[in-house]
Amino acid sequence: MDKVKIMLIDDNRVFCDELKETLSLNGCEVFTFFNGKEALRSVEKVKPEIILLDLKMDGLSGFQVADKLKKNEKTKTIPIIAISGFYRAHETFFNIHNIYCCLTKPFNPAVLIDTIKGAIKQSSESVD
Amino acid sequence: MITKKKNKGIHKQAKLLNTILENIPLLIMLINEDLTVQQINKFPSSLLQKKPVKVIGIPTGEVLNCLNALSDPNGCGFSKLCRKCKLRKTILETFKTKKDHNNKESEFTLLNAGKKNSFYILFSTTFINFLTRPMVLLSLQDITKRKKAETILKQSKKEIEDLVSFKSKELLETQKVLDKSKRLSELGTLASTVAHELRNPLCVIQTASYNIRRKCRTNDLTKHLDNIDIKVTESNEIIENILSYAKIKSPRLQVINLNSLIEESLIFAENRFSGNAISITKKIESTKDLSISADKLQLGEIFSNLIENAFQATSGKKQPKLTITTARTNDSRFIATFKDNGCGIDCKNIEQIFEPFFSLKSKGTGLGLTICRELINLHNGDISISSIKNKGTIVTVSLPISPGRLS
Ligand SMILES: Nc1ncnc2c1ncn2[C@@H]1O[C@H](COP(=O)(O)OP(=O)(O)OP(=O)(O)O)[C@@H](O)[C@H]1O
Ligand SMILES: [Mg+2]
Repeated sequence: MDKVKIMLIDDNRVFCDELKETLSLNGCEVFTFFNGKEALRSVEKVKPEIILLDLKMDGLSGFQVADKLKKNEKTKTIPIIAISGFYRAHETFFNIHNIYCCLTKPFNPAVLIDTIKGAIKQSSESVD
Repeated sequence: MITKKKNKGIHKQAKLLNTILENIPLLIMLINEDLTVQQINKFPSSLLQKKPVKVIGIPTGEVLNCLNALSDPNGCGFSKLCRKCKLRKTILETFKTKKDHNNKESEFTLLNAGKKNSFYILFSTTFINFLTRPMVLLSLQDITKRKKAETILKQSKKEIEDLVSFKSKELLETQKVLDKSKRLSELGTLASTVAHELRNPLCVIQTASYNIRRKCRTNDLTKHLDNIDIKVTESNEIIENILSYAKIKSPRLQVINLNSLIEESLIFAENRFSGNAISITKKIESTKDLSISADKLQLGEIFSNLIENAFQATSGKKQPKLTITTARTNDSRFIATFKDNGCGIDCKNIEQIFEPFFSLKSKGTGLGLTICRELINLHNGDISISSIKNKGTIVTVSLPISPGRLS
């Protein structure tokens, strides 16, 4: 994979640290944000290819962030991968219209990498 | 003059007494020592069928049309049942002891307008010496109506008492169930909060382990990292169980093939317990094409939990065996039994195995069977377990083929 630009939005700082490392090890460039507001402010500047979004956050929730991203012409095509500790989140949120897919915490990082690859492949196909 | 006046006075007195006697609402008889009637008043009584003038010299029982007196050719006093006659005994007693008896009650069968009828009679006896002849004054009152009303009242009182005691028992049971479910739901809320909060740290541990693995590829670290990963997975399973218990939702029914679901659940368990030498027998031919309506995930969870329990119970046995049998019952239900030859369950524990968090396993959450039962209830089904310690266990699940409207 070319250096994939990823925006990681999660209010758990330690988790962000570890996950950033994981993604970097897999050739991604990671921009971390600890709350939705700051992430929304920077998203047009960062221009990420993928957004990793925690659904349960203080302040703006992941759902609200996803909503705003999808309403903005400039950001609406960016695939969002949601991560959540909700019970069976992957089943509950699997067909939310503006989310590419949802992973339930804890997840195997290798699965996340595969999911990212899949999302990039799909979005590049839809651009063509 | 004086005697005439006196006579007139006595005459007046006698007339008054007679008027009283004829109008007193009682049947009054003067009885001779041979129990025949000497005198009777004329007040119309429901107890008297005959004309008062025709009864003089006739035995008391025959006067009253007593069925016992009439049924014996020799009349009153000769039937076997006459020996038990309370009225007879009381009159004889009064003659013997010269003592009065007041307000006695007895039941009689009297022939009334050609029909046998049961009467309750209230009677009193008084010993009198009439012109030196001993006699008994007998007064009788028909209290049948009052008695019947009393019986009805007594009955309804008993019925009401029974009803009240039944209802209060029911109430107590409901209260118990409510208490328990309240405790469970509080426990569930607490457990699910804790479980939920543990997922974030677990996720960090798993990611960190991945990162270490990627960064230093030394073999002696791999072993430890593997252990971390295994334990993270195990912890997550516990969390899943707790959350699934706390968040059990109503089934989403879909049509599924019973046998394929059993096969899938078996494969799932075999994968988890690879290396287990258990021999599995499936007697599921009879339901080969049986389609049922159930929540696939939930039913799968039920079967997996039961199979998993059987695998665990038989591990360490010489020849571990699990037999799964299915059958259709005629009342549109099906039955699946899971029989193992494992460690069995001690009598003293059998009551508790469905309780949340009851587990005899070092790593068990004790929620497996609790969840099973809850899910089976949601499908309008039943689960029962019979077990012999050190011999084995049979779990029987009975479910409707189509649960219809679910609770
Ligand atoms: N087939 C069986 N044979 C013998 N004992 C059993 C069997 N099934 C259940 N039990 C007993 O009932 C207890 C409760 O079972 P349950 O499935 O609820 O919890 P668990 O198996 O201990 O934990 P978990 O399901 O989370 O692994 C078990 O610990 C075990 O002692
Ligand atoms: Mg179990």
